[in-house]
Amino acid sequence: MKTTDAEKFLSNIKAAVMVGQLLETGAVDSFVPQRRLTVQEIDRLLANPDQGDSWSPRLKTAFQFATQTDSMGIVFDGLSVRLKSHRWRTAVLRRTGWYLLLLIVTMVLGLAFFFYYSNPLFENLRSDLQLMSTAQYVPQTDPVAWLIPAMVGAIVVAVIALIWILIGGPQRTVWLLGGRAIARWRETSVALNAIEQSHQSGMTMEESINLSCDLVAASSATRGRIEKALSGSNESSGITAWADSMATAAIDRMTKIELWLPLATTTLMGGALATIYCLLIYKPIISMLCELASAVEG
Amino acid sequence: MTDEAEKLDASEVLSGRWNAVQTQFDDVADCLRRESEFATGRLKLRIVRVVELLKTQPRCDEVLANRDALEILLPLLNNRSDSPSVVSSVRKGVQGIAANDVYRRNWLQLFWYPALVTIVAFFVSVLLSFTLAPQFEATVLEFTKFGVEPQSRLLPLATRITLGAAGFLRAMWIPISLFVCVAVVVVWWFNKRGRIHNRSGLGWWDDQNISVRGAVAVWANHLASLLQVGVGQTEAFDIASREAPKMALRKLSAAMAGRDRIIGDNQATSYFPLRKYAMLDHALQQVAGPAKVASLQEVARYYRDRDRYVSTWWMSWVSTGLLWLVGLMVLWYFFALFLPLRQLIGILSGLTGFAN
Repeated sequence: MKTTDAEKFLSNIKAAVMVGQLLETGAVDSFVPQRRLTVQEIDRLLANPDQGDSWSPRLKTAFQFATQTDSMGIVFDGLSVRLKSHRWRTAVLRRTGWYLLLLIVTMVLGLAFFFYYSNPLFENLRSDLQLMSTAQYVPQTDPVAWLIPAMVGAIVVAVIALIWILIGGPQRTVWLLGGRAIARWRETSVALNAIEQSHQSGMTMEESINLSCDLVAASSATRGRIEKALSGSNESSGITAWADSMATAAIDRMTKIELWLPLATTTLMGGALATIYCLLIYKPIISMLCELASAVEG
Repeated sequence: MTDEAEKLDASEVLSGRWNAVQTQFDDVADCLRRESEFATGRLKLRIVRVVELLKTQPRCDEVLANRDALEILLPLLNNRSDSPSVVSSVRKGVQGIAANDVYRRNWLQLFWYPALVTIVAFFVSVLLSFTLAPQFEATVLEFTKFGVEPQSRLLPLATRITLGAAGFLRAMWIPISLFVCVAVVVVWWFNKRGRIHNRSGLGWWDDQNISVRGAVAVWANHLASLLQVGVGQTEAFDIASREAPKMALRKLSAAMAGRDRIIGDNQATSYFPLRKYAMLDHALQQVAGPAKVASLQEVARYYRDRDRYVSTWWMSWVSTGLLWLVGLMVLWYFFALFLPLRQLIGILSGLTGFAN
């Protein structure tokens, strides 16, 4: 490992990290990013750039790729693709969370209005009407009777929701809704670009596939798929077309999830809350009027 | 007209190139099958279809009429001097198919959210019509017993409509839900069947969900590919007419072929009288040659972009429109349910002597 090359490579990586690029060097077969690169860690490596043994295997692969193809852009893409997918999932969840939080705040305000303003009004009205000689029967509608079971139900739902959040339920939901496919397509797209680049700089197809898959820390399934599709051919021109197609597919799916997940969640939750609120406000008024009318008639 | 086109002799249209390409069908199919590992969704489906077609050793007119197969084989058919490798040609062809996909961002996406809101609103209405409406009606009935006013005059029109709708929903919500479910399944099945049996490869629902601009883009691109491999304009109209999305475009394309047979092509006559398609008309009126092909491809790209732009524009209005709709619904319920309640309370106060 030439010291100058290694220094140049690490300086490039450091510059990218300093301007906010998300890079990681974990090599474990997983869609979850590991070992995010920090400026301190790169500085530590820069202090002894000739000691390549202390580098993580993925950083070594990245260095090998950079020196052989002279394209740092793909190296950055390769080291950041998993982190970017992870970041995207978190961002979608955060946005959905904000919408839901707004809904819950509105619901709490609505309930507060109901309990502190409109319900006491009804109760006063009831107690007043009970004193009247015309109203012989005014039924009790003590909210405590139905409030306690409702609150127990709400607490149970809240506890279940909390457990679901704590065991990573939201992440898993995005994962199942298409997050996994997006992560796979994105890493395949970057790997294919890397394969074309490395093959055209003189490596054999097999070497290119191995190096590129190591660069993006491709999962075993992705690696198997790439090997199956490309092992027979020894031609790399046009592979970027597939890379583009996979990247576009990922962007399409991402747009769909970004758009529909918050909308669908808020619509379903909003619909349920609107029903509950409607029943909460209208039911006492109507029932009171109905009973009063029968009482007056009696 | 169609019979005439089917009698087209392959060697006549594409001279010797067709025979050379025909021997490579198996290689192309193998390569496509292998590399379809990288394709997703609709693109994968379209590639699998081309592989199936190539396995049957299709005739020249079958390939020319199949947009996707023609796009895949185009780099091989189009080659006049050197012999490009099958792999790079296939990759180039796949890029062409992927670029020409107007179905990916189809208009159906526009309806998902309103559909979801409608479903939620339907079930909320059903629930309220079971819980709230009967009690409301009973209350009103109690009041009419006092002989204050007949029910029809007591309640505003909005309330009567709402209560009528609630009664209808209570009685009919199961048949309505069943009807919607059955309709969705029937449309899905019919569409799937259409995809297999129709020459265009599109089902009825697919055909409805492609915009006119998108359809024109697909058609113009197919026409450009046909002209590129050396098919004459009249035959190209005829072949493209069989595969084009939208019934109207199929008929128009066939009519153009018929008219060109009578008066001859390149007569600088207008094909598309609408101003919206003036660009396409201009491209069609050019003298045959590479410039015309390039113009048609450019026009197709323009209409694809335009289609995407228009659907994005509509998409941006969906949430605003729904907000308005929800606002109007709230206003409706205010007039239909809240105002009568106030009226009833007034009557009650009168009865109990509270009004004074």
